[in-house]
Amino acid sequence: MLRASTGFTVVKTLLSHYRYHPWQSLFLMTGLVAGVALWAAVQLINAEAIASYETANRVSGASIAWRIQGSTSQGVPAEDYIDLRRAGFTSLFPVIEEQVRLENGGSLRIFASDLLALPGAGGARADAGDRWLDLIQPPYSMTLSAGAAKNLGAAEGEPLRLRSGQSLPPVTIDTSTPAGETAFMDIAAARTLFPQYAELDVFSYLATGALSETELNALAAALPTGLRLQRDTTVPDLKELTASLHQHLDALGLLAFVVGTFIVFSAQRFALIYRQQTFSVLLDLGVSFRWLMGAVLAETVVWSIAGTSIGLGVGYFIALTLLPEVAATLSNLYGASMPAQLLLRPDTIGVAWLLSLSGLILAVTVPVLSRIVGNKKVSRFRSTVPVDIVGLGLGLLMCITGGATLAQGLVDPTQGFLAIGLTLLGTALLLPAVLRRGLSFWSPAAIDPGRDGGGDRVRLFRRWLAAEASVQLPALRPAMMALLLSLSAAGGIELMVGSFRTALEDWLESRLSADIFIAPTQTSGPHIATDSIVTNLIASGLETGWLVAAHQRTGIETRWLNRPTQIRGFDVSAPDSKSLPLADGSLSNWLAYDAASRQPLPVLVNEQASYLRGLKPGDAIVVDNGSEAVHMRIEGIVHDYGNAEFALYLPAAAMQSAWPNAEGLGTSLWLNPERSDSEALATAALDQAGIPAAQWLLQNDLRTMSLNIFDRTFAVTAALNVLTLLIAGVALLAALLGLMSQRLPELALWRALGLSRIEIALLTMVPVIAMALLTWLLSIPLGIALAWALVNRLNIVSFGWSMPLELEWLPFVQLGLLSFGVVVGALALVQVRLGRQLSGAINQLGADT
Amino acid sequence: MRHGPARQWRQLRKHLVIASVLASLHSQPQARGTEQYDSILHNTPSQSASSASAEFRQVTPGRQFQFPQDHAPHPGFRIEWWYLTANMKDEQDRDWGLQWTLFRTALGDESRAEGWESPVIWMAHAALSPPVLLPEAGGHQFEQRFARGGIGQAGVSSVDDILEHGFEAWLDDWLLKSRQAGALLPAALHFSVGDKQLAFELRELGPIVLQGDKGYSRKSSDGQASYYYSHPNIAIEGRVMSKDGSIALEGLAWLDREWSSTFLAEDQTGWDWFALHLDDGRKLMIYRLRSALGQDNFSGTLVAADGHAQTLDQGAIDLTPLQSTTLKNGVVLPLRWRLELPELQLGWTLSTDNPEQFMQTTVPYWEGRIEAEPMSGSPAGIGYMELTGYRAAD
Repeated sequence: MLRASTGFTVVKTLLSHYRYHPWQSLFLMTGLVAGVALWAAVQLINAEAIASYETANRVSGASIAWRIQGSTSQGVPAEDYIDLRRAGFTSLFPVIEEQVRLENGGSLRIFASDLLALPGAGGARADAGDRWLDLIQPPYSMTLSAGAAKNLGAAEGEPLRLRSGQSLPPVTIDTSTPAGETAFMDIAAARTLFPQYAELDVFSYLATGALSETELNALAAALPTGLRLQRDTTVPDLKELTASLHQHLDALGLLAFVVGTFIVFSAQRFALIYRQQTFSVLLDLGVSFRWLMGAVLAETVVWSIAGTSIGLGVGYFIALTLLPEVAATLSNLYGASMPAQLLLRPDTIGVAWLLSLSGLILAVTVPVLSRIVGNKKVSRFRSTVPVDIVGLGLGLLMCITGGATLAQGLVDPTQGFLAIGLTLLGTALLLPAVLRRGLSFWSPAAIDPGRDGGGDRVRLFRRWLAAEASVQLPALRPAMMALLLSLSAAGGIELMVGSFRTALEDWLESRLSADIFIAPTQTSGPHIATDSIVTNLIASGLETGWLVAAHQRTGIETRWLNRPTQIRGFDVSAPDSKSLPLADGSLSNWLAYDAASRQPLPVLVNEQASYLRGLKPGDAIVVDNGSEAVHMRIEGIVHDYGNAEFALYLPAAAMQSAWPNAEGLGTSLWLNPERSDSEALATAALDQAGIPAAQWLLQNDLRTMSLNIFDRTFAVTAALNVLTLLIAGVALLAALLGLMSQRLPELALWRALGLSRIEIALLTMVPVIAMALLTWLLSIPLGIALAWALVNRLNIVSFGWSMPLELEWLPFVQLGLLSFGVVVGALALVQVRLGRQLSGAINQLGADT
Repeated sequence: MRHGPARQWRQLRKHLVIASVLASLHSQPQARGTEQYDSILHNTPSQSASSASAEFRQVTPGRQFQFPQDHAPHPGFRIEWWYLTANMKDEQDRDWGLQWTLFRTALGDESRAEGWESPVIWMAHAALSPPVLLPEAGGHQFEQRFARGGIGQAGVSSVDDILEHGFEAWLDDWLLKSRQAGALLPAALHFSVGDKQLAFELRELGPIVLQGDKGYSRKSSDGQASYYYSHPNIAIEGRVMSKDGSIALEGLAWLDREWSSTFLAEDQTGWDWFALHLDDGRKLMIYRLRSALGQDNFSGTLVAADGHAQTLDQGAIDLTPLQSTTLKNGVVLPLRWRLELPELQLGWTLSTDNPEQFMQTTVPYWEGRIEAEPMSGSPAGIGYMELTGYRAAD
C-alpha cells in the first residue's frame, strides 16, 4: 500500500508541473493531438473507402471480369446466351453497349443489361419495389448519375432526345452516385432503341464477374463455336486501381504523425529541464530510480491516452471534412461510390489506438529516459556535441542505406516507403550538424579580420549572434527537423503531382490529339461500318478538305514473356505517331521504316515491359506470330500510363508483314483547323457514310474531362500538405516559447545590462530566421530527391509506369514564403509574450541578487 | 486507343453503373417489393402493375380440367405456380424437407408482346431443410432466382410440347422434367441451393385431386378464387450432393398447381396452408385465409388412400393457433396449431422442430416441414406448412 501510494505521489508530483505551466501542457497536447488526428483521419478515410469498394464489388457481383464475344462482327446470339444459362452458367449476363448522339450535341454511352439476370442481385430486386418494374416495362426508364443528368440537362421523368429525333426512355436520376457518364437501361429497352440487335437477336457481348479456375475451364469448354472468352483487361480491381491514391494518403498521414511527435519531443524536453530539480529532490527524498522511471512511464501513458483520445476525435472531424473531397475524387477517378458519412469502426479505432500509443510511448519515453540517465551520471545538462555526433553518424547511415536502396531499384512498395522514410529521417538527423556548420559563418573567426571593416561593435554583435545561435540550436533542433520534413515532403509531392499533370496533359495531347475517333469494327454490335467505308470516308474527307490527317490502327492480343501483351500497328506518318512520348531511345529509325526493310523490325516497347523485363533500346527481341519467330529491335521505350499489360508498337507496314490478320483498332481523324465548318462537314459525312453515331465520338470532351478529374484527385493531397506544414509551425512556436521562458532570467540580465528591446529581439530572432532559411534551402534538394524517388522508383514498383520529372521552382518558393510567414508569426507571438514577462523577470533578477 | 487512363476510367465507370444501379435499388425500403406482389395477389391497382383485372381472364366455377394439358401454363391469368414440397428421411431416419417452386407472374397482357418485351416474369424458389440434429448440413437454406418470360431462360412446356416430348418446368439450370411424353410423372428434378446440388426422381403413387369445387377454389365471399389441383401422392427419391459428399433421401412429395387473376380480397392479409401425409395413406390439405375484418375463410380436402377426395368446408374445420414464436429476424408467427375435423372425429397438434424455415425472399414467408401429432384415434402424419403475411413485431 505504502509503495503504491508513494508511486501515486511521485506521479502526482511530476504531473503537477503541467498545472503550473499550462502552455507546456497545451503544446504537448497539440503535438499529440495533431499527430494522431491527421494520421487517424487518413486511416479513417482509407478504411472507409476500402470498405466501400468491397461493398460495391459485393453488391454488384457484376463488375465485369470476363467477356464472351462473337468472333465475327455479328455479336453474340441470344440463343447461345440462353443455352449457357440453362447449362448452369448463371453468372453470365447479356450486354448491349452503344454510344448515342443527343439532340443538343452531347454524346452518351448506353449500357444495357437484363436486370433480372444480373448476378447477386436477388436481394436488390426483392427490396427495390416498383423501380425495377419501371426499368423493365415499357416505356422503360433510363438511369443516369446525378452528375451526368446535370451535364446533359436531363430532368427526372423526362426523356432525352437523340439527334435522329428518337426519344430515349424517361430519365431516372440516381442520386446515390455523384458521377459517371454511362446511362443504364434494360436490355429490352435497348433492343427497341437499337433495332439491329433485335433483328439479328444478338447482344454486344456476354459478361461475367470473377470466376474460379474450375468455373473458367467449364465455361471455356461449354462455349458454342463462334464465341470466344476474353479477360476484360480494361477493368482492373477497384482496390488495385485506388492503391496509388491510398498509398499517398497513407504516407502523408504517417508523415503528419512523425511531425506531430517532434512537437512532443520539443515540449517534453522543456518539461524535463524545468523538472530537473524536482527529480533531484525526489531522488534525495529516497524515491528509487526505478520508481522514478516508473512514474515517468506512468505519466507518459496518461499523456498518450489523453492525446490519442482527443486526437482520434479531432481526426474523426478532419476525416468528415475531407471526406466529400475524397469521395468526389474516388467517384470521379474510379467510379467508386463512397458513403457520405463515416463510421468509426471498432477495428479502425483499435488499430489507430495501438499504433499511435506505441509510437507516442516511444516518442515520450526516449528523451525522458535519456534525461534521467543523464541526470544520474552528471548533475547538469551540458554540451550538445556528443548528441550531434551520434545524430550525424546515425543520420549519415540512414541516408546512405535509404539512398542506396532507392538508387539500386526497388523490389516492392513497402521497401520503397521504408527507404524514403530512412532517407528523410536521416537527413533530418543531419540537419543540426548542417545548421551548426552553416551558422558558424556568423562567427567573426570565419571572417577575414583584414577585410572586416565593420568595427568592433559589428564584430561583437556577430559573435554574439553566433553564440546565440549555438545556444538556440539544441532547443530548436526538433522543430527545425519537423520543418525540414514537412517542407521537403510538401515540395516533393507538389513536384510529383505537377509532373504527373504535365505528363498526363502531354499524353492526352498526343494520344487523344485526333478530333474524332471511330470505334474499332469488331467490338460493337451488328451494324458495323466496314473498313472500306472508313477508308472511303477518309479519302473523301481529304478531298473535300475537312480532314487533314487520319490514323487507322491495327492490333492483336497475345502472350509474350509470360504476360498479356498488346501488339499494335501504327501508321508512322500519322501526327500522333510522330509525337509518341518516349522514356528512352529515339523514334527516328522507327519512323523511317518502310515495307522494303527486312527483319529485325523496329519496335517501341512500353515501359512496363522495359522495367519488368529489363529491356532497353538496342535490345533484340523475338515474338512468335503463330507460324514463325518475328525478330525485332527495340528503338525506344514509350510512356504508357495506367496500362497493366505489355505493349509493342510496330510501324503499320511491319505489322502488316508479321501479323497480316491483325484487327482494326479504330480510326482517328484530324479535322482541318482552318475551316470553321469542318466538324459539321465531318458529322454529315459520317452520317452519309452510314457510320452510326454509336461508333464515333468527339475527343475534346474526353481530354477536358480527364484533366478535371485529375485536378480534383490531388486536392486532398494539397490540403494535407498545408496541414502538415502548419503542425511544423506549431512545433516551432512550442520550441521558441519554451526556449524563451527558460532563458527569461538571462534575457532579463541583458535588459538590465542595457540592451534595448529591439536589440534583444534581433539577437533572438535572427538566428531562428537563419536556421529556418537554411532548413528551407536544404528542403529543396531533399524535396526533389523525394519527388524523384516517388516518380522513378515507387511508381514503377507499385504501378509499372513512370513519367518525366518536371522541376518547378514555384512550389518551393511558395512553401518558402509560407514557412517564412509561419516563422515570423511564431516569433511575433514569442516577442509579445517576452515583452509581457520581461519586466517581471527583471524584478525577479533583482530579488535574486 | 485501347488503353491509358482516360479510356480506362471511362470503361470502369461504365461497369460500375451496374453496381450503382443495383445499389440504389437495394437502398429502397423493403416493404415496397412486397407491395408489388401484394398488389398482384390482391389485384389492386398499383402504378407499375397498371394492368386492370379486365386485362386478365377470370376464374369461374364449372371448368373442365384436362390432363396432361392443364400442367401447361395458362396465359391470360395473372399468377400461376408449380409448387413442390417433400418430406424425406435419410438412411439414419432423420427428417429432411425440400421445396421447389416456379411462379409465373404476368405484369400485363401477354398476347400483346413477346420475346424480350414479354410482360411475364418467372420467379423460382428453392429450399432445403436438413435435420435439426445435423447442424453440419447448414440448417435451412433457400435461394431465389428470376428470369423474364419470352426468351426461353425460364418457362413451362406448352400443351403441344407436353404431348410430344413430356413436361418441363425450368429456370436456368433448375429443372423439373418428365420421363415420358404426354405426362408429368414420372419426372426428374434437379436444382441447387447454396453449394448443394439436388437430384431426385418423382413417381406417381396416387391420382391427381381437384381441390375445392371440382378445381374451383373460392378464396373469399367477394368472388376471389383460383383454379387449384394437387398431386398429393408422389414418391420421391434422390440425393443431396455437396463437396462434403452425398446423402441419399427418400420420402413423399406433394405438387400443388394453382392459377388465378384475383387471389386475395381487399381485407385478406395472408394465409395459413397445411398439407399432410397421414400414416394411413390419406392426404389432408387445409388452408385459412385471414381477414382483417375477422371473417377468416377456411377450406380443405381429405383424400382417401385410393384417391377419392372429400371437400371440407368452413364448418368442418377447426384450426387454432396455439403458440406464437418470434424468429431470429423478428417475425412473429404461430408455429404450433391445433387442427380438428370434428365431424370426422380427427384431430392433430401441428408443430415443427425447426422454427427457422423462413424464406427471406421477395415475398417473405414461412415454408417448412411439420409433424402432425395425433389426438386419440387419428393417424399421425408429416407434411408442410406455409404461413404468409406475417410481419416482424414492432
